[in-house]
Amino acid sequence: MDLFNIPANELIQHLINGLTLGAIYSLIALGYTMVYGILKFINFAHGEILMLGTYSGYFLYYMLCDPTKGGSYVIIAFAVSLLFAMIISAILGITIERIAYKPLRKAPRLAPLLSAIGVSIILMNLASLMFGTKSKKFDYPFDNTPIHFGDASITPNQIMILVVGLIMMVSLKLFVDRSRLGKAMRATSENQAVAALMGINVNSIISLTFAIGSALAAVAGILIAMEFKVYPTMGQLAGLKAFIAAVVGGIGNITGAMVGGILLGLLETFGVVIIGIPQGLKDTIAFSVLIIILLVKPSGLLIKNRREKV
Amino acid sequence: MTKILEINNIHVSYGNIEALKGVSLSVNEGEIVSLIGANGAGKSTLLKAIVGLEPLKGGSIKYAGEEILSATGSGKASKKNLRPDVIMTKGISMAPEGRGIFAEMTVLENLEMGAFIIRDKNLINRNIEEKYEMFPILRDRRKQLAGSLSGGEQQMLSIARALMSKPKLLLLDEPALGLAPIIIQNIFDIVVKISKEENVTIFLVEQNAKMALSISNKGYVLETGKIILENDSDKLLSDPKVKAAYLGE
Repeated sequence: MDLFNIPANELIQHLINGLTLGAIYSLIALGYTMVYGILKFINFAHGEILMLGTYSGYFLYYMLCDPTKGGSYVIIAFAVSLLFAMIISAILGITIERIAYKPLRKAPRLAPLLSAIGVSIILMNLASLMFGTKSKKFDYPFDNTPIHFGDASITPNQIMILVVGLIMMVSLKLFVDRSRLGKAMRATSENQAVAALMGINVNSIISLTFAIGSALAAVAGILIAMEFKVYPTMGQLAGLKAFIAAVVGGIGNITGAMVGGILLGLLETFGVVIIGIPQGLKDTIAFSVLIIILLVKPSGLLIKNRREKV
Repeated sequence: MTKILEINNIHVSYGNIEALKGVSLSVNEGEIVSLIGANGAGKSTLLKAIVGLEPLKGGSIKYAGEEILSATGSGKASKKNLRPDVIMTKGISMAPEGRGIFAEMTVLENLEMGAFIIRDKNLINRNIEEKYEMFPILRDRRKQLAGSLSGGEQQMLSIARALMSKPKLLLLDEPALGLAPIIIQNIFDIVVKISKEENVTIFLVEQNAKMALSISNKGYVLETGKIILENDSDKLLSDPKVKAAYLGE
């Protein structure tokens, strides 16, 4: 079967590539959407939380082992570094909220937004100053030779991205839907004052939200780093794309962020092969999608009707 | 009789507008006390102040003999003031203005949130079962999103949720607002029932003066941020001023 004159095997290949890209967007988009859900503002420093988490994972990884040697020790070191990156990012997320956003909670909406952009610029420049602007290679902890099946292939890293992404998203969804704290999170996002009347410590819930979103960003950061290296501005474009994914899915909606991310990943991949958009113009796809969504369905795909607060 | 709630000369402002200008009142344990007043009199502000959602500019609030909120001499809320979620754990629960249910959560999840401070799963389930018996309609609707309930059902959910933590003092903010007369009657019957069966003191804030005074022991009348009358409810019902201003007679 030839769809758009593309052989089936190539289609599968693009599907794999699109899904892995999408899974990464989804992981980052979740941080934007969760924070928006609770504080109704876009944390523009999210990409830098991702970047710093990745750096911390990178440093620990190379301190613990020499990845080029391979072996099970490297994999353990990688897992430890990944966890470390998640923790550092979570702490960073909580700290940024406490210092730069919490004092502005009662200020006009624009104030925390500008504060976030400021934090983003500060962190990016601080990273350039401390770690240098030269990009650093993040070696795979395993042999990344593609595995061939038929005419298509998948790399072990792609498998890891898909598996890790799936595990993270399913556990987040279960946490938010079923657990006591997850429900408290949803209650807080609907109405902070009433949530406090239920005995929920709203500040703790906000911190928890930042911690989870930031930890997911660190995971995405390390997955990206292995494909594209570590550098101080690595969070910029990834963050922007993930933000678009969150808007496409319906900002504030967790399932929306997951769907939006996957959709954007697939559109970018297939946009190049089907419509024939030159590789260099690939990034225009995401922004075009953003414009179209904002024109056609500004509340996002997964939000049924926009409820205005009365 | 012991006083469960004592409000002493409190002031609350929104910017330059003073919403409460030195309000004092007290609520005895086991009673139903109502506060009546027109729109904008400061009724909801008073309730928000009690649970710590609005900072005090002056005065203090005591609950069960303990000072939970106060203001410094310079007109700022005291640093020692308890947060709303901490005040709640002391045993004050509120069914807020406009019901304040979590519209995008199910009826059951709303009730679970009411029991957020309780860790014992069995106890939570027992409380939910009790509330279902009190409000059978909530059992039928337990898996529906709370936003899909009718106004009366949402009010019942709001009251049931406020009772989930087994409070000693229940604050009700205009439970009759926007409901049909027959449902209002139903809600007030339930309030009386709760007061008898749940061993809870009720402080009721209402515009519907007739209803509120007919079920309460004691009443206060709030007008533009000041208490202008206080008396036993049956005496207020026959007070010519109350009759003229609030009962339309």
